Amino acid sequence: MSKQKLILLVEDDADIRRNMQRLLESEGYTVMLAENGQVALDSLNQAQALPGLIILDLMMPVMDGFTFRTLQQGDSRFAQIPVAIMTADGHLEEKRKRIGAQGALRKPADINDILDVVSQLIN
Amino acid sequence: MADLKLLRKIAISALIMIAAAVVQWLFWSHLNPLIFVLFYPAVVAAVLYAEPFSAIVFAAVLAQFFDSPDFSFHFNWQDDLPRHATFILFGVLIAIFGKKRTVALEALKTQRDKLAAVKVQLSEALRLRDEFLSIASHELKTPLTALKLQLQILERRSRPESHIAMTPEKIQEKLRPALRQIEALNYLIDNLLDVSRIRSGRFALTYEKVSLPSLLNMVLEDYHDQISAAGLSIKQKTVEDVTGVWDRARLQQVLNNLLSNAMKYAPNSELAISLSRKDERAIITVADNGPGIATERLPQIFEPFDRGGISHNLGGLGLGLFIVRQIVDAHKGDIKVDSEPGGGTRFEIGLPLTPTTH
Repeated sequence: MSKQKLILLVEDDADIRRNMQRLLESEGYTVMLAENGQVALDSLNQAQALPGLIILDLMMPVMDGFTFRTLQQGDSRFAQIPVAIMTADGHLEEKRKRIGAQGALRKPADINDILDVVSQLIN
Repeated sequence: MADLKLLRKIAISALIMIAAAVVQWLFWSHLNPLIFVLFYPAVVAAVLYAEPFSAIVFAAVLAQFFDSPDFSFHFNWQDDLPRHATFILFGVLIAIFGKKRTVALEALKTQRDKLAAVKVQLSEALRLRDEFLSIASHELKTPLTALKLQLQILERRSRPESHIAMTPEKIQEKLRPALRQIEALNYLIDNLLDVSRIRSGRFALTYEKVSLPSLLNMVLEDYHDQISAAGLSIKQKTVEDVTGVWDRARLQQVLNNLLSNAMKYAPNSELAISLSRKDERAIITVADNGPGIATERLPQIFEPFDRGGISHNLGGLGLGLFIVRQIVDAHKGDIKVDSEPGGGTRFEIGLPLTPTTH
């Protein structure tokens, strides 16, 4: 498995996490899971191989998506990893621009849209 | 703004003084110091502040001013009274209109202050509404997202071209979380509807005989999995079988909400629940030894959409305790909270055993 096929999924809801993982794994991706921004940062720091894409929820306990993104962009090792935000918020495009993400998915997202965004950004 | 007004007043006062001095010089070729002391300040006060007393003094001195160039205060009743009376009348009129103007200005200012306060309230209400909408959409869409993913994955796998065999067990396994998410959605929507019922005054109770301990056991059973997932250990002490006449579904909601708050805000702690009777009242206490609530936040915890100051993220709409309090109030009971940071939180609810008529 090439490192480009690795995805870091940052999402606080366990059901969404599990379903996304199943979906992505069924498409041949490898998925790293994190339940908030802090856990995501820790796993980036410890990762053997860096993910080719980060799917990022915005509203999470401990560390939200905005803070995570700021810290990720501030770290030269991780700044280049593309990010797709996934949020229930109405102002999706505005949020995407504000956070400087490459992709955006509105919850509840369609699995075809998820897979499209993932394959576009990760390749 | 205020500084500018003051500057303008001072400038006008100075101009009046200078103009008056010029007039005096032109008429009598000298300046009378007494007039300066008595007259001009009165003129200034009367014109700028329309203060009644100064206006009258102004009129009286004005009479003298035109009467005797040497400012001798010579007064002849017969000759001077009509003219003096006219001037004093002017003074009174200035005073009356000035007063009216001042009153009107003050009323205007009060109105403006009130409007400003209303504006602040409105924008706060608007902010709360926006925040609530954002929270509500997030909270509603979270189970919806999980549900949609679950069902779409199931749908994909059950297609004829899918290579994964869907055994009944696997379908079962996929559908169970979906049903749970529907329950979660339903719970959120019920809460929202309750708030709307409470706010429009359509919150009626259906009374029946309820045994508190068995209701509590039912709730604890319902939540069994979530309680252990939250690492909560329950210490339950029931002194006696407390039975009363209450709204069963609503009381269950009270216990549900207190329990789910403990799971959310005090995970991995010990939760002591006790039921007892005291003076024709049932006493329910729910106490955790979690992180507690900051003292200054305590008054707000029963307000709708309050989430203990913990921003977004822990989930929930901030309606649980608001609804608890409304249910307790509807039963003519009372609810108290004791908490301090680091010292856990303790809720105590007192409920009359039978509905009271007052």
